[in-house]
Amino acid sequence: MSDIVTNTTLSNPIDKSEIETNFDDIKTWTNDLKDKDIATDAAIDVYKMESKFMEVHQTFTYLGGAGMPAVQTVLGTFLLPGSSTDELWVAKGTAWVCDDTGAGTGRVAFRYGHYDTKNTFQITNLPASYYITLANPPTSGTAFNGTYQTTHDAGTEIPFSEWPRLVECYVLTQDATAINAGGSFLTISMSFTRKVQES
Amino acid sequence: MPIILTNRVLPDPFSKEPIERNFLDVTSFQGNIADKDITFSDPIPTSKMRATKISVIYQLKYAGGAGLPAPATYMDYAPVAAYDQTATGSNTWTVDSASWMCTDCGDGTVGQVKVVAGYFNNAGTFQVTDTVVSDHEIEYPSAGYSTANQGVMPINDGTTTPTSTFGKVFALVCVATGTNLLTTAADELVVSVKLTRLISTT
Repeated sequence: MSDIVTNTTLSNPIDKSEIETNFDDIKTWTNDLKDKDIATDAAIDVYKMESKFMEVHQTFTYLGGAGMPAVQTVLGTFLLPGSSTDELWVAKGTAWVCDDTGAGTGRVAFRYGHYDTKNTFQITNLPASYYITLANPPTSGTAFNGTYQTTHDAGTEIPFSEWPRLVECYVLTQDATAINAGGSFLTISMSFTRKVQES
Repeated sequence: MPIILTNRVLPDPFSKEPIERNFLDVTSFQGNIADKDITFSDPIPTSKMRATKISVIYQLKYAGGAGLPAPATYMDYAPVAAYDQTATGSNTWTVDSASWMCTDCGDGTVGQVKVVAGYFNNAGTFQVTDTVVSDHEIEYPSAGYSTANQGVMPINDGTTTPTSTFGKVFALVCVATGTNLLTTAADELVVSVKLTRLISTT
């Protein structure tokens, strides 16, 4: 039973105040829509919501002891399972912690892609200038942590295809004195966001 | 479907029936608002939704072989990948819950760990800003059983620890070494920390 209008049955002859009351009722109702006003199967598009992004975080640890390896060496991988119909992930933030930053010159960069049938990493996206420097200014060689924001790779999407996508973290600039001490480590976390999935 | 008034044009003179019919059309719309009746131009805020939270989980691990380390030893770190320093941005993760699992809990003196949040300063010293989980026992299942066990770890203030996660690192710290824990290299202690915050707008 609807409770929107006061006068579901009008007087005869018509009393204009009854109609005006109903008009006011309708105006009030439209300014106060509630859950019960919306159809159960409305399936409101997520883009009509102010907040529409979900988020996952992944972390890996690279164990040191022999110094930072050679340029292009992969230190760790973030694997993004899914299918080609999924909403696209966007890498948003990176955070790292390292207990042996060496000379403070080592750099780790990121690339998105997949391995082909010849074991060659096919790069889908290579975020420009998106790297972290393992440094603790002004004191080198000590532990430090850092965080990087989306401004480094704003809008860089990671599309799927028939392959699941990887984000590889690789050595961009070697610093053999970093991650050199026995038991030392580099741990990196990355956050990925995408529109909330419909299914 | 949108409201469709049966009598958009009234006869002249008009009777009460077509007007009553139009009001019925309006009231029939209640409970039938569909996606196409809602505009893109004025997105519905999260505060008006019933389900408003998303979660992520971080793990802290410590491998076995030599038991728990000496008290105050930092056993593992997990940097939080927050990406937005604004007050309402991704730095506003709240620690929602935590739990632990250990494959070998020993059967003697119970070991204890805690979880803290903080950062390394320029001298390379970890600065604790929040104690997420206070001293917590890694209890063995029962006397004579030094086997696997798990448990829930109470969050320190239950609501807002830490108040900002941007640039923060979670750390697992030993409080009491205990005896006979994590005796083989295959053993491990795992602590998971679940963070929640409002669904993101960006």
